[in-house]
Formats: sequence, structure tokens, C-alpha cells
Amino acid sequence: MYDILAYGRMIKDPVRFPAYMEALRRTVKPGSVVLDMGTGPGIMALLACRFGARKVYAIESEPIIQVAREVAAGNGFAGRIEFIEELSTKVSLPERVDVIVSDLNGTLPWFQEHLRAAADARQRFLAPGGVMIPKKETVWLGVVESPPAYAEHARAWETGHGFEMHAARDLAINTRQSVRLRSEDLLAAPQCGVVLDFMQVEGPDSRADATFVIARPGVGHGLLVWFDCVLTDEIFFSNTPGYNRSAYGQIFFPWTRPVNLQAGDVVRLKLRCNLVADDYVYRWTTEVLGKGEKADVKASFDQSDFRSFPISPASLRKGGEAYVPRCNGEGSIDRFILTAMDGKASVGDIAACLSERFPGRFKERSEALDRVARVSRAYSE
Amino acid sequence: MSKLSLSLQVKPSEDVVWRNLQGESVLLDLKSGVYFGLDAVGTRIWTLLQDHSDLQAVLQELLCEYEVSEETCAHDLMNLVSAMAEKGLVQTESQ
Repeated sequence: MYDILAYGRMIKDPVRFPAYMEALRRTVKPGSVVLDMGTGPGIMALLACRFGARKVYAIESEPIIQVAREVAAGNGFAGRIEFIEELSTKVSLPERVDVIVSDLNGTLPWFQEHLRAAADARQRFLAPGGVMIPKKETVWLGVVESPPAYAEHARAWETGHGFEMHAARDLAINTRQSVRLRSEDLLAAPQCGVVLDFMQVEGPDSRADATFVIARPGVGHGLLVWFDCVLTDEIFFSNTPGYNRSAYGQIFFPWTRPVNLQAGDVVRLKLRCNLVADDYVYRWTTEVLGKGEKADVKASFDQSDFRSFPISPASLRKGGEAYVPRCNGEGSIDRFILTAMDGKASVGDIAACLSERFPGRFKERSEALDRVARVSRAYSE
Repeated sequence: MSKLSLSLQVKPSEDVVWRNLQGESVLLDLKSGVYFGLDAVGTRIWTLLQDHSDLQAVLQELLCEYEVSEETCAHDLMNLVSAMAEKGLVQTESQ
């Protein structure tokens, strides 16, 4: 998911990482049992050991866990950290833990399966009186004026070198973007959207309604979303506009078109995010009322990042409930490999059979080996 | 759900996002994660439902746009709305 440079940026983050380190220092007691969810290169697990943990369960489904193993061994903690290469939701632990620590956010708390995983871990692994780090996250919404941020979405498709490019603009204008804006870009006081209490959170989906009274005239370009994270009672960090030392910025949700706003105008925003498959789909609706008068609707937008990417109608049809699929050539190759994976034949054996069965498709033995290896990595025990 | 009739108010569910694909459309139910497809006429009905929740108004618009008898059009409209209501894609309420 992340490359090693991204992990490095997280560890070097001058906001998040020191906060996590201090939260662990205050929470982990000698003899504590700790669960580190999504350990990555293992830094939280190492810190837990340093602060006295008797045992750390470090869960990570990505190959970076191998780096964490080596780092733990190199620091003499291999005996106290048990690494588990799996999704936390598929793991059982032999004991309850005193502390669950995770840094599973993206730029926002809604990131892949992480909220569901945190809820699952709390229910199945946390001992009575145990501590979740983070403890609580508060998501904030703002209306912003930012020509540079908006230009990223619109300008290329509006100039278009003389061509009409609205099909591309429609996608761009429904795309959310990570930005670093200033507090002076806000046109109204921020509103609290959602509070995620990790001792109570259950499902992955959220919705937030907010009403803003515009404080200064300007051009509204969209919605800005960020969050405050309380790790423990006294330790927190934020990616609020203007506080941009962190590796993480805010998320900008552009409007369909810029809107001239006057002080006293009212902006009603609804943001909802739903986990679909393994990623979030956002929908943001906006209504701008001149001076708050229902009769003076200055703008009304209904947007979603479901409209932000190209879709092949043919590909969609193939996923329809009533579609009757038939295996194509590539599917036949994978089916052959899967059938051959009987617990007896080696990757090399299967590759040899594959080359024989599909002589025109695999001209070199290495091509067949690569194909079998890929299937083996995905589907073998 | 109310028994379906042309006197019902019908509006797209807030749990559904949709997009147009060259005249046809795909709907995504955010709660279930299930995709649905609409052909050109279904897409036109869906867009009309965004503007008019009154089924009679939708019917009158369709009769202006398509060469079809009122009986056939009403029948097809009710079939589609009924199917969408069953899947939770629209919400219905009596006037």
C-alpha cells in the first residue's frame, strides 16, 4: 500500500509521530500487553517495548511486516513482539490487551477498512479498562475560497486549447484532493461534522450536516474537511488549515462552479461517506441561500466522487447481477493454473504444463513462471 | 412502502449516487454497494424524478417526449418505479 519513502515521511512527521510517541509513553506501563494494528515498519511496536510492554502483538497484512521483523530483531525486541501477517479482522489473539494503538488514518479518518477494523479490535481484543489510541477524532467542515485549489480541478478543462472538454471537467469537478490551505481561506466559522469515539465507533460509514453563515464576502470554491485527533486525554494533533507542518493536509471537495458569496449568505452542506468494497465513496451536497432566504437559491450542487473516474459501460455490464459470464482466454489460463495447484506440483512444474497447454501464449519459460508465481502468491496457502 | 400508484410522491433515495454514461446511467446503492443500470428511457425517468417527485408530472413529461400511449407509458413507468422501490433506490410516500 505504502512504499518505504511514505513510511519514512510518517515517521519523520513532526506533528503526528511525536504525539503518538508521547501517548504511548504515558499509556504503556511495565508489563502492559499492546496491540499495534497496521504496524508497518514496526515503530509503534518498538516504542511500546521501550516503554515497558511485556508483549506486543504487531499486525500487518502488507509485506512491510518483514522489515518490521528485521528491525525488531536488530533492536533486541524480537522475543517480545509477535508479528502477525494478516488483516486484524481475521486474527485471533490468545489474550486481551491493555492498549490498542493504530495510525490508520489517511488524510481523513475514513480510510479503507480501518474504522471497521478498529471497532472489531476493540470488541474482540481490548481488556476491560483498556485504552484505545487514538481515543477520539473530530471531523471539521469549512467553506473555502481557494482559486489555486479550484484551478487544479477546472482550469485545464475550461481552457481546453479551444476544445469543448466538459466530459473531462465533470470528472475533475467531482474529484476530492489533498491540499494545504490557510485559515484565512475559510469564508465562515468551521463546523463540527462528525465525532468518532473509538470506544464506541461501530460501522465504517458517516454523515455530517452543517450550516454556515458566511462571515466575509468572497468566492466559494468548495468544502474543506480536516480532523482533530485526540490520542489520549492530553495528547492530540490536528491538520486544521494553517497548521501545515504535518505530512497530512486537508481534503478539498470542489463545487460544480465557484459561487459569489456575501456576508450573511447561508451555505448548507451535507457530506456522507460510505465504504463500498474496500474504498470510500463520498457524496457532498451544497445549497447556497442568499442571506439565508429560501427564495434566493444562489447555487445547488449534488456531487460525488462516484463521478470522478472513467467507467467502461462494458465492464460494468459484466458485473451486473443478470449478466451470464463466460471465461475468456486469460481466465482460462488462470483456471488452468488454479486447477494445477493441487499441493503436489511446484510452480516450475505448473509453468511447464502451462507452456505446453498454451504454446502460443507463453513464448518464454520465464513468462509462464511469472504468471504461475503471480497466481500462487495470490491464492496459495 | 405505500401501494404504488400515480398519485404517489417518489424521490430518489439519499443512499444512491448515480452517473450518466452517454445517455444510459449507473446507480450505486451506497448502503449495499450494489450497482444498477438504467437504459436511456430509465435514465430519463430517473432524471425527471430528481426534479418532480410527482409521478403524474413525470408521466406528462414522458408523454410529451415519447410517442407512446398514456396507458403503456403509465404501465412502464409504474413497473420501473416499483422495481426501484423494491431495491430501495427510491422512496415513496402518499400525497
